[in-house]
Amino acid sequence: MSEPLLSLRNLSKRFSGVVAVDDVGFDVAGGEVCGLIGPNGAGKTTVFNLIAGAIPPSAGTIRFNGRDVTALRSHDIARLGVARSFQRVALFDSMTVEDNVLVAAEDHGRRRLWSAVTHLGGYQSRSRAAVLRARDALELMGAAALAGQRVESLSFGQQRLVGTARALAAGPRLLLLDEPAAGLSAAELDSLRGAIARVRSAGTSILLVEHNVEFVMSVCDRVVAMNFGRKIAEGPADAVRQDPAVIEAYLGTR
Amino acid sequence: MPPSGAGSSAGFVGPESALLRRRAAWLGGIAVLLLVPVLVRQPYHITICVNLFITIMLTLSMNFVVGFSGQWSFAHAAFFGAGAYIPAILSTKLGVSPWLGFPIGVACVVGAAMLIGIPIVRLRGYYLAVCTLALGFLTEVFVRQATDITGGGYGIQRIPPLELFGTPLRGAAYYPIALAGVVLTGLLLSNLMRSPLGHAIIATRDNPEAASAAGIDVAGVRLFAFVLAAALAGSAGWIHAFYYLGLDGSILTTDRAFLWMFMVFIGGLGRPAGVVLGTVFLVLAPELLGFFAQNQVLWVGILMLAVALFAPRGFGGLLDAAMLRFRPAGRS
Repeated sequence: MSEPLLSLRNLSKRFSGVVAVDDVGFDVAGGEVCGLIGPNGAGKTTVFNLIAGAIPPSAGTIRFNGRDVTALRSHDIARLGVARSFQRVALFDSMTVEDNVLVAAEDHGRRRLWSAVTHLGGYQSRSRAAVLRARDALELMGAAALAGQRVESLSFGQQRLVGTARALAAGPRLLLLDEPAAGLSAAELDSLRGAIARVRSAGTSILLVEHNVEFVMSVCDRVVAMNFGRKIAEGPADAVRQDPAVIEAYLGTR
Repeated sequence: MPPSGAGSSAGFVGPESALLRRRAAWLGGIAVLLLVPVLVRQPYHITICVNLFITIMLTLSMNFVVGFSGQWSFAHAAFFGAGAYIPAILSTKLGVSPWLGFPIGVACVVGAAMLIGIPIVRLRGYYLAVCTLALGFLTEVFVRQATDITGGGYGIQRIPPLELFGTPLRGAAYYPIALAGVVLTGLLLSNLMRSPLGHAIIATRDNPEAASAAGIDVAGVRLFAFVLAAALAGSAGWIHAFYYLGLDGSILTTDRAFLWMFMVFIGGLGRPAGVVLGTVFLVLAPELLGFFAQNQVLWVGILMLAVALFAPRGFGGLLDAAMLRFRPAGRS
């Protein structure tokens, strides 16, 4: 059997005594949509931050695409093909919607300093490929009409769509979505669902944190449930939903 | 508010006409400025122009590192001083060609900025400001105390002038060099900000976490901006040294860095056109207005207060507002 796209093994993160993630391990296969659920404070976003390289783990390993990426920094992991959206959206406030998405579509791996300052030889300040990727991402999220607007003028739901489009525009192999459905209207939810289906059919894997249970059940192949930093259940969406440990985590013990 | 829809997505690829207009504006500006030494005969007026160009190089590069890259750097005067002192000392004491002094001086400034920058760009906000401020003071003290190298209070005098085909470049003949300095600085920064690297600089300022998740090396981008601004300040220093042909410690005092910072703020942080206006205003005001010259610090303070209260985005902000009034909506 071929290696999964992403695999976490014995992953732990301690913040000065507080164990945020405790010995968590799971895989995400190529082309799979995997949900990460759990009550607030379960450690889901910390797992995201660990995968994306925003913070280093205290213990454990992360392998991506056949390579140990545990020690890599955030931008290196991004360049390998891991894109993420943020729970708090985190757009580039001074930019228009299209520029927000374009920045993520651009290749920041190679420095072309000379051409950047001289603009000689038919230089294009925005590469066609990046512009097309950015446009596609915005269209996929149903946000093409917002392109010229400043992000501060958008509703919260629209900002979230743009945040997701920005992650898509990088053309990732693994997409980490942190609460992509929060604050979306019914129509916006439909765009998101459509986008997830399209992205997955293009072979991209998705790991998503989401509180909207119905949404998780409708888009995810598999669900991992966490509570108090530990993995408490894993499996097909319906099975996890029925799992006593999961029900207990959400509703408390009787 | 800009209209949504297909029309506004022209921003994705700048229209050809905008590019042509921009080029025409640059060429027109250069042509007009080249006429100045032909029309203006008084050496003093040439000095004002050269000083103005040097100061614009400094404020534009300061605006770049503070406004675009979001790093509070007050070490600008130190880099300016190093860029002036190093080639001046080399040519005066060791007979190195002033032309060759330029790359050497800038290389030294770049090296120093990298060395300092690697630890310093990890600092944010106030910490970075305090650290670079301290660096400025240190340089000031060094220049005053290291008498053997810098000449202390006496400074470096009798610097040999730049020569072109055996003719020394002085006064009006030096004017094109200063003009080239400011034009190249402006072009370089304007081009840079319209490139993926420029977008990465803004993204890093706006949200470092998201920038890094988009594949941008945040520390690298910050270091680059810090070093580039230092190199531009150093270049301005070279132009200064070989125009005045004499230097002393007063050129790199920290209060000069503050004055440049005020010019940037009065002009409008992050708005290069406004910064140029602010610089022109504060450089020319003491020359044209007697009362301003007598109490310069007072008037700069009052102006700064007025800008902070009534036009927090500076001259540039006022300019933008005026543009919006006269242009159809949706153009950005």
